[in-house]
Order: sequence, then structure tokens, then C-alpha cells
Amino acid sequence: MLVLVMGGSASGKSAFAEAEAVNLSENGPLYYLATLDPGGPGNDSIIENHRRRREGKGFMTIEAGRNLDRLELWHADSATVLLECLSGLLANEMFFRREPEAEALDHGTENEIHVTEKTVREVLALSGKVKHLIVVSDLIFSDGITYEKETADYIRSLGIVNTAILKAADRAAEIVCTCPVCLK
Amino acid sequence: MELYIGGISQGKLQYVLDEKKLPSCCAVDGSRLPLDPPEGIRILEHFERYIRRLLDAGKNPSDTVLLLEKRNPEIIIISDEIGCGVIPTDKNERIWRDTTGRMLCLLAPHAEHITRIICGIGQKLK
Repeated sequence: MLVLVMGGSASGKSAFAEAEAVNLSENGPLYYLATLDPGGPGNDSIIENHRRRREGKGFMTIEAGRNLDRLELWHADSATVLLECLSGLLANEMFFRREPEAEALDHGTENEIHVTEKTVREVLALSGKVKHLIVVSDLIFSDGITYEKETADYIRSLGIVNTAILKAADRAAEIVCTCPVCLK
Repeated sequence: MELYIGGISQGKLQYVLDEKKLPSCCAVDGSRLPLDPPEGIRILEHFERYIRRLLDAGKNPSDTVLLLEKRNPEIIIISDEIGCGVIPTDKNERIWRDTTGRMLCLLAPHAEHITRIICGIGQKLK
């Protein structure tokens, strides 16, 4: 089962997604794929909060900043995986590409399409390998601000990625003020 | 206690006034409410502005918000939704945005009802 949990900042989406993952896992392995870059602005306190809340719930934490396709999970077919979060994964794929093949790509549209497709493909491939995948993502589309190109490209790409994952998802919800609003 | 949230200019206050049949003088703005929350508040609008002032004054937002609720068990709190954008690069903006969200999450389990207002229509969340 693929579940997408979205929301704005500090909306309660992570707590909801964790509870969902624990419920779905029954007695199977429970993985937490952490994508947030500890060096990102304000991420250290978010990571600390998330870590504290996860304590004692049985999650095995794996740093998965990029390249989900290279991930190896023990007993993947019986595992429940919480990916936190899609927006962090996409940001890492877009902005922290250090490998030669990425350097060779032109920046701009080609890179954007490449990264967007890669992210969707790898999330969906992971979903096919595990028993349950819960994906957390951000809604960043309603602040009315016109951003410079780099950020505007990121916003557009996240919109595309969220849309593709929601389309494939069995269930999806927006979390508002801790309350789930069912989208699918 | 009841929570009403929504984007800017969605008719949140008017919705509450119509729903509760209250005059607009019942509402106090978060930019004016004393930082030591008094009793007798019927409606607090712009909760997000109140959070900003608490942070600017170095007050503990959780303690103050819980005190506000304790002193006003029937209060209606209206807040702009400010968390659905790109993470602000400015640290204070970021802290304000996250704290407003966290304070709403702190109040949510105690709220009798939570409603999101979109274009003047209320979407019941709780």
C-alpha cells in the first residue's frame, strides 16, 4: 500500500504519518528513511523533534538523502517504510548533485525534468518493493510570493512529484491542524 | 474552545460572527491582546500575530497559549494559515511560521470544533 501524507509546516503531518506507519507495520520491520539535510536552514531542530517523537516506536532510521534506488532494505517485502520527506528528497536531488553524470547535465529545464522523473521513478520503485510505503510531503504552494528561478523551479517540480505520487497512491490525506482531510 | 483557520481574505471572522450571531466588537485582534492573556475574551482573531508578539517579547508561546485557553475556556480562536509556503530563509520568519503551526497543533486536541474557511465556506475538520 502506498500512502501520501501532505501538509504545511508544523501541521502535524509527521506525527500522523508515524502513527499510520506503526499501525500498518503489524510485526514486520519498520524503516524510517530520513531525507532532511541536517545542514539545511532550521532542519537541526526539526530532525531533533522528529527523532524524539520516534523514540521507542521501533523505527530503524536510515539516512536516505538521495538515490533511493541504491537503498537496500532487509526483508523489504514485509517492511513498512516511512519516507520523510519527499520535499527534502527532491531538494537534495535538485540542489546537491555532486556526481560527474549530474555535473554533465545542463542546469535548467533538462535537469529539472530529469530530477523530477528520477524522484518519482525511485519512489514508485521503492513502493513496489516494500509492503507499505508512507510518503510525507509538503504543501508549499500557497504563499503568494513570486520566487527567483531556482526556487520557482523547485516549487513546480514538487507540484509535479506530489501529483504523480498522489496518482499512484492507494490513500492520501492533507493534514490540517492535526486533522486529516481525505484526498483519496 | 474552537479553532477557525484559513488563508488570508477568506472571510474567517465574518463566518464566525454569522455562525455565532455575535457583533464584531466581540473580536480582539492578536496585535492588541495583552501578552498576559486576560479573561473574558470571546473571539481572538489573528492568533498568528499574537504568536509573533509573544516571540518578539521572548515569552514562552506554549505556556501563554495554554493560559489563554485556561482563562477563556469558551474562546474562539481564528488564525491565518501561514505554513503552506516555501521555508523562509529568515530565521525569525521560520520560527514564527513553525511556532504558529505548533501552537495550533497544541490546541487542536482540546478544541471542541476545528473549521477551515475557504471562500467563506466552512470545512469541518473536527
